[in-house]
Amino acid sequence: MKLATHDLTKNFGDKCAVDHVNLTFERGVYGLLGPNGAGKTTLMKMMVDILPPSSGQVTLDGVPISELGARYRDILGYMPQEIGYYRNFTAKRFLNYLAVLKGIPSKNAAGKIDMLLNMVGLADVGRKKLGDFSGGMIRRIGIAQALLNDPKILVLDEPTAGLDPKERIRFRNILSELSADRIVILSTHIVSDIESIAEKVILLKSGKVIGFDTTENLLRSVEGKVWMAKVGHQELKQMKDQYVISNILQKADGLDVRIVSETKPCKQAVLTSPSLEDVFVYHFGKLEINNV
Amino acid sequence: MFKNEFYKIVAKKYIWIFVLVLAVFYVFILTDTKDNFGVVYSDALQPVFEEINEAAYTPEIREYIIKNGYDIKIDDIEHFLSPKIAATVDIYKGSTYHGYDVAKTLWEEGVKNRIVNLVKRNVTRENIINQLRADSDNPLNRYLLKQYSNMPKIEANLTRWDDWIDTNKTLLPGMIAFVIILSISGVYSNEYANKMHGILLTSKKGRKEVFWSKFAVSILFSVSCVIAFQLLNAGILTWMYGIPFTDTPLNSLSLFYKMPTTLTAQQMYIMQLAGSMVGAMVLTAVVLCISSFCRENILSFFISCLYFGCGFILSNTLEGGYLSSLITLPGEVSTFSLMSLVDVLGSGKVLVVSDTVVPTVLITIAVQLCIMVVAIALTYFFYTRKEISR
Repeated sequence: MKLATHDLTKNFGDKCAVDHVNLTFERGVYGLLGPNGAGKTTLMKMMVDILPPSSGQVTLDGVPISELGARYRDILGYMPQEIGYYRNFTAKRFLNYLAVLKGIPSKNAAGKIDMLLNMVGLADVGRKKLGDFSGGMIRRIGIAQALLNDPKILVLDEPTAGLDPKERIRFRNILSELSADRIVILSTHIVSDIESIAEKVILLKSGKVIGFDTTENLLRSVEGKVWMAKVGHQELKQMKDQYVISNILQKADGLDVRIVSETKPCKQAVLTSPSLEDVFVYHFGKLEINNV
Repeated sequence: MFKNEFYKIVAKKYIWIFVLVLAVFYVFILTDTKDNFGVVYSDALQPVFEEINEAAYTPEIREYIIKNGYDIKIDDIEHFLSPKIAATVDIYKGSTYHGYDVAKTLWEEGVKNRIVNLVKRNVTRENIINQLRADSDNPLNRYLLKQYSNMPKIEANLTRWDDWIDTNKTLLPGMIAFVIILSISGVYSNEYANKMHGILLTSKKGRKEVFWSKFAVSILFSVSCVIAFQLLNAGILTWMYGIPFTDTPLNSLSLFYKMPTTLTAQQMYIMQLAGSMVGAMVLTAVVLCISSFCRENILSFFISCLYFGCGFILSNTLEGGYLSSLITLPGEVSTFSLMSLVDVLGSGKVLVVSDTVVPTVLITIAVQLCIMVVAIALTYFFYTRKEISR
């Protein structure tokens, strides 16, 4: 199974949200990484066929997904960035409704729903109305609905936003198990999520793909460019103006600053092994990681 | 799927609150006249219905009334009347109601006025026929002559069919339409408000089947709404007046007596029930269409109200007469007109197109069916090709 985008472009008026994107996805987990406004959600919407491209196309094994229609949707699981739900529906009723829409036979649906509620840790609130759920619980329902039809292609837009650390770990484990025989594409700006589960990472900036490689290769690309230095507050101020700061850690004897730079930023700086966050700030310039 | 789609509509508490408030308001409006003399004694003269009719067609009475310019006293014609009428009225001798002498009022308003009106209406009809015969021969005159000549015999207005037809004229269609618009206007736009479109449109059956199930449950809801309100209306009217004891020609009712219609009141009422049902379905299709391209419930609600309201206002502003024109036509072909039918069908309205006389009601039905088909097609188009740009 090969999912591919061919010169995929989306313009909103004068603004180009996705600019001639060519990507190929085969089995595995793909992380779509980019700052806010990079075009991640627009790209995903085109890939799930709810937003027609301005030009280019998305194909599955060479066939445009717009032609496949319901056959494509049958093997698709999609979790949008903003999870829709009906406040008056219970979790079970909601999933049951979507199971019908996904064409799951009713005799299989109940068992599948119980299993998924259990998987996302909501088994004990299945009969509660969604209007009473917290944001994190709604996201877990969103994940459960995307998995209802056992999709071969799973597209998840910011799936971990709003989840607590325990749930994020649970979610990462679920995805790792699922990735064996399907394509999983997830977008996030939480770099640590991608670092731990994505085999390949797509870096998207201003609608353009600026990098598409394995995590290891991306890390290798910034090797020798990540520095650690202990500095004082005054020195930090100057450093911020000159260099891209990846992380700042307050210590008793000063500040441990992580800098991404082609050259040695200060005399006390020492090279350190890079992380995906460093790759992120290297490519996107400023630190835009909010929930790391 | 149908169950869940239906649940989405009826689970909204505010709809039930509005329905309840409207129903209470409606019961209040209708029962407000419950203590009126005419209502309390509405069946007093029913046993002498035939005798009152016979009196109006008795040549001596008719000539006497015409000769005196319709200004007579009951004593002047009492000796011509069947003794059964006097015996029926005499039952109420000595009774008073809210200061009225019941027997006297029944004589004056119940018997005399009805006989005088019946004579007057027959004379009017004869004059119209004579005038049409004298006028130049043209398609409209030929049509009108045929209608007036074939009219069933006008009867005394004793049946209370007026109330059954009049409630379906404006008030009931208005309320039914309001409840439908309130409930259905969010069917698609609510999915936007709930941010559900992304999930729905990416599920296997999320396009065509969601469309058909939403359409089917919306129609089911509207039909249920029409049945519920019509039953409420029929229940109140039966409680107040009883079921009309006999059918009567439509031209016997005050609303229609000069109009070129050959229908009976019962036929008209049944047509109104059918019109109410079909009109509700058309309205549902239009509201669904509006909802399918609106992203805000409130916008969908207001545009839908505007659609129905324009027809309502135009129809009520330009009603009257039996001749349709390009000015009156927009109101006459409206969904409201189809739900009411009083103006276009009860008044026997026609539109003259070159040499052809077309009953306006046929144009109304044709236009409304076209609107329904176009609305369904557009909704299908909007929804199945829906894109989520935000």
